[in-house]
Amino acid sequence: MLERINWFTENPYHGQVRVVHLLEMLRDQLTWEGLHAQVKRPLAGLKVAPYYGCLLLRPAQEIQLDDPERPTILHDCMLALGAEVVDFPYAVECCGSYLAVEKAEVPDRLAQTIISSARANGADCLVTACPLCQFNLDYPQRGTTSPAPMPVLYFTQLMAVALDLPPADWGLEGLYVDPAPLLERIPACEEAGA
Amino acid sequence: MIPRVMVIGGGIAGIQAALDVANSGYEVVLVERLPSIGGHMAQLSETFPTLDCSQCIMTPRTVEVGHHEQIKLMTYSEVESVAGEVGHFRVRVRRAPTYVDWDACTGCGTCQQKCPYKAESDFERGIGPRKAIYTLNPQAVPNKPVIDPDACKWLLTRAEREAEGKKPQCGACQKLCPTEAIRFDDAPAYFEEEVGAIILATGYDLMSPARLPEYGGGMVADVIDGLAFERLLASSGPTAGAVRRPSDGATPKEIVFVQCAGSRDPEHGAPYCSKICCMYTAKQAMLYKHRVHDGQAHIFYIDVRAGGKRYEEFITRGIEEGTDYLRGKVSKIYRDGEKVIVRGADTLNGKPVTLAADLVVLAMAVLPAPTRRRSPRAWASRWTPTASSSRSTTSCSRWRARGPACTWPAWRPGRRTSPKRWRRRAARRARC
Amino acid sequence: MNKSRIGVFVCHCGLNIAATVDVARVVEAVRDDPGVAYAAEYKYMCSDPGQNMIKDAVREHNLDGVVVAACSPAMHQVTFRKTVAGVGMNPYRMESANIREQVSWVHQDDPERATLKAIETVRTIVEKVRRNEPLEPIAIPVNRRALVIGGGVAGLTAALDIADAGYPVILVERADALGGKMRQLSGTYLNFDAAPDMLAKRVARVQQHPHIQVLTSAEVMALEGYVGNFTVRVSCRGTARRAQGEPADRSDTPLPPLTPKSLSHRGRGDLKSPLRVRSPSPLSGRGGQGDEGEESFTFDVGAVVVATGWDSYPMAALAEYGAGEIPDVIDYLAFERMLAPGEAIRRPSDGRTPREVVFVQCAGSRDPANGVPYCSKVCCMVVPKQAMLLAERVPGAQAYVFYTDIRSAGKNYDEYVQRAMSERHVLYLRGKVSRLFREGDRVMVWGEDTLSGQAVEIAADLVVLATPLLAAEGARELAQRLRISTDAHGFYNEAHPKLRPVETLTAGVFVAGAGQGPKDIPETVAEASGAAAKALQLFAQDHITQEPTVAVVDADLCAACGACVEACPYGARSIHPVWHVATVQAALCQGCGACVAACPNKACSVRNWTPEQILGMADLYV
Repeated sequence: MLERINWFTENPYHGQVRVVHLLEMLRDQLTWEGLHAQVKRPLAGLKVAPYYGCLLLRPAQEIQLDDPERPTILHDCMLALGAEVVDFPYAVECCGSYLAVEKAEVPDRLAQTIISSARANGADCLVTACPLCQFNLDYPQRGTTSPAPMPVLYFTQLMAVALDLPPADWGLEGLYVDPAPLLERIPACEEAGA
Repeated sequence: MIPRVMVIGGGIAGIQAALDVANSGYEVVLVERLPSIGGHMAQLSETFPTLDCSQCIMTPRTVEVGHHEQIKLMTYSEVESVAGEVGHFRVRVRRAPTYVDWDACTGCGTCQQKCPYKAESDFERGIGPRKAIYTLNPQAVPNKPVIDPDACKWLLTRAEREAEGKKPQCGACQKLCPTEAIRFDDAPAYFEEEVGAIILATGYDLMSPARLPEYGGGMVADVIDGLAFERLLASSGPTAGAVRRPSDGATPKEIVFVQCAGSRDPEHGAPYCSKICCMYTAKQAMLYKHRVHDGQAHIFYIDVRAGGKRYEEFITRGIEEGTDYLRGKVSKIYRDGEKVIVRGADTLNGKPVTLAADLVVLAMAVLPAPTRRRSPRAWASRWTPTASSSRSTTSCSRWRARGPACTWPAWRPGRRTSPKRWRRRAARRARC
Repeated sequence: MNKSRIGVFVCHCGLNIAATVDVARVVEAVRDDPGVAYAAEYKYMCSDPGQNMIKDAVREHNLDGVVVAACSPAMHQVTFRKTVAGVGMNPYRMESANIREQVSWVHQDDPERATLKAIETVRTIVEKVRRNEPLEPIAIPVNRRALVIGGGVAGLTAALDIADAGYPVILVERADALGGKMRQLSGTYLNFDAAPDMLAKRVARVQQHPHIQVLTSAEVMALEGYVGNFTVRVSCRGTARRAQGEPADRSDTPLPPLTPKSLSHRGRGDLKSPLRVRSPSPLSGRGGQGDEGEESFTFDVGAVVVATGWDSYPMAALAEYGAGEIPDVIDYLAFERMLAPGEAIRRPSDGRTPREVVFVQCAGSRDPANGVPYCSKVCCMVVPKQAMLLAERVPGAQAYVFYTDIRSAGKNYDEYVQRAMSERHVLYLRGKVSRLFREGDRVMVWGEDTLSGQAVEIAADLVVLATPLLAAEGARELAQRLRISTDAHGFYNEAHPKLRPVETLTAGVFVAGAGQGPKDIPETVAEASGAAAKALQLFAQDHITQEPTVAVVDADLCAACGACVEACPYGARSIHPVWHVATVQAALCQGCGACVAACPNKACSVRNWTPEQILGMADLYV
């Protein structure tokens, strides 16, 4: 297997690189407290539903990022950013994106279920840790107005907001559901308390 | 050789062993970890296949043990060490502090009535509360209470208040006890017993549902284990035998029973078969139908292991009375509004099944009994209600089955960050 | 009678009684009643000060009867009877008046009427105590010798357990050799190789045991008497015994007297003539058969362990599986014999080694229409054992198992079946077999795989049927002789399925093993040890004591009509052949009162529950 890969990539790999997820790095290197210390604009009042999907945590034995059935890592990240976290039962459900090409109606239906469940539980937006999940949940909502579409963000986008990076770096332009109205609600008052 | 036997464990096995040995003319020392004997059988409502009331058939035996001249009953005690050899063992027994002088106490129950502090009851499997001073049940043998040091206001505030030179708070039991039996300065006592033989009958406990998060264990209030459902069915239980679900006290109209929850599952639980679940689940479904006539019970199973005298006939009766058997595994259980959604597969028609239930009962794997009293907080969530406000407020206080344990996710011990500290800071920042 | 000096003690039970019932009023009300010499109240009668109060009052006021008005008699009557016995009063002159469970707890909303009910309740019990006779518990002597019926692994274990404790045992086996069904097995699951050896050792130990007398080719013909004092008649086919090399007169020679260590160290002394064979009287020409040397013996025993085991299902009754017609369809005992040491797996029709073997579970079990409705329990484990052995011994063989449910519930059982599937590649198919027929030299098996929903066809070399376990032949008749009951299938009924699994409703008769219901060897051995322990519990006592509140007959009134004999559910009544009156066997009487109701002449009564007492009590209530 390794041979075949090396032959194919022409770039010798010996399996010695330790792969970490950005979330893992935040948790273990920076720690949530460290992250929290960096926050300049806490996402106060923002009700975020963390959506894990399936592949962030699985296969659990190999990845060991978090409990595959009861993960907390994204919850913790959002709490550290000052957001309010909303649980919903479909947080670790598959979004069906691998069928997006072959049977488009399957991911559409799954996305519908996931989003409406998050909405029923009072979430303002969904946050994902997988770009494909993000796209897959976001895309089916394009152009809808009722029920009100729910913004789906990648967690780094919310980090960018909380760390008060210039809006140009937020990278929100690729989204189908515009989160701007939602993000405007976040108070921009980090100086007052300091 | 010392003609004296020690029986460790005061469940039905230990009780029967103690009686048989004692009735053969030998002295018996019966050691039980809990304040009274009876074990799990005291928690059951009725027993298969005869549907005899469990408490009724067992009470004569517990009373006999209590009265027996040849049986020395040591409850609230655990074996610390054993030395010696067959025919001559020296056993060291530790008796936990009861904070009640059992010789003076008459078991009148005044203290239990008047105690203002409640705690989650292990005996009621979290379905109902008990007082800080308690006996396990009204038929307890011995019928003497103990004080839970983690729930008693007096004991909890003692150190703090005495440092301030004040008397500890409460002390209601001490004031009201007609025989002045309360001893707040009680300490563990150690006894040395010499016996010729030892019978181990320590029994089992069910695996915690919190170990099966995919089944909503520990997260969804209306997902309970088999023993908790026994307490719901038991006429001596917290609901007096009315089947009510923990979240809101409503009568469930549709119950899903999940067998092999943690059994026959090397990945998540025990690789072995727990043997008793097939029958008690059938019994529970049947009793549920007897209590809630328009209710529907579904049972997910892998194999119906009804091997035993009159067992097969019992299962057949359950099916005739309307229990719905579905052969297959449940993949996921989660809360959706008022309902608990159970998703599984029916392997006989090869199709996925989704059921919207009011209550789910998990037939959890049978594990050896823990040697120490299980701390209710060992697996409970540390997630504060502020973080999951959308979830924990749904249940009215009387029915809050497991308190914060029903919320998720959980901070588990051993995490690198200290949740409390940074969360406090997060709250402070958010306020600004 | 009116001269009784009864003390009445009313308990507050904390607030349990006092919160509802005005205790002081109860005391005042009964203080001056006829026969009452003293009345008092106390917070807790059951506490040490409360009990001392009773003792002091008995001495001071010279009381001859005591009524404690408190909780249910089930709770503390024993306590208070011991209390009064401590100051020399006959314990049967003490009674509990239940004013807690039956008064204060149930009438919490009406204290006034609850108090009145409490007063009436106390008065009725005073009335009863006035007429209570001082009684002594009945002591029944125990004959410390056990009879074990059945020489299978259950019987062997029970016999050894009892004999090792130092008591003589008579082991009766119908066949001409010991070992039972286990002898027919090649080995057992979980520890295959060790099993035959273990059985052989057990048989040898039984045969050599100084306290065990083995009677093979023998059957129990009758049992009389009651717990501790049974008389059993055993009939032996002498030829068979001699064929085994046993001296024909062995049972006539008393064994040397035994002094069990377990007893002597506790100062019980020797047993009186522990093994006494009473009048070996040969029965000649009985029934016209077994004529050659059939003889019968009578023994006195104190306890009986019934371990008669099971029999296999007749293959001919399974015609839909081709059983009996197709030679290569066999039952699993037949396959066991092929697996035995020194044997080879060869199919019956042509002696060829089979490659494709189909095992059919529940062949007749769980099938109310064509077989038996119950589950035979052992097959789910026997079949994987046989399938694994097949795979081990016949390279390239494939085993198929048709099953309904895999009932491998037991310690390490599930893992064992998993091993058969994963390591030995036994193919498990969930479904029933619909048809078996012969095609060429193969047996075609048509079945259904209910998991895939598809029909399955297998061309098998050999088909093994897991046939049901039946109660041993003759079990019903034996049960009648022993006065124990059987269920619809001929299995013995235990006294209680949960709490008294090895006892029967006939005291002193215990059951063990598959005679009670299908079960495997570990369970059988556990039950045998349990039954033995129960028998030993009997033998540990010098006397069995029994409550003296049993029925008595007034011989002057009795017309010997026999109504009581029919009414008695315990077989305690009979008509005396000489005196011609009804008699009561006190050891069997449970004091239920059925005979009192049945007797047309009012000749029957139960001691301390006489009609005068009950009517007197009723008068006070109405």
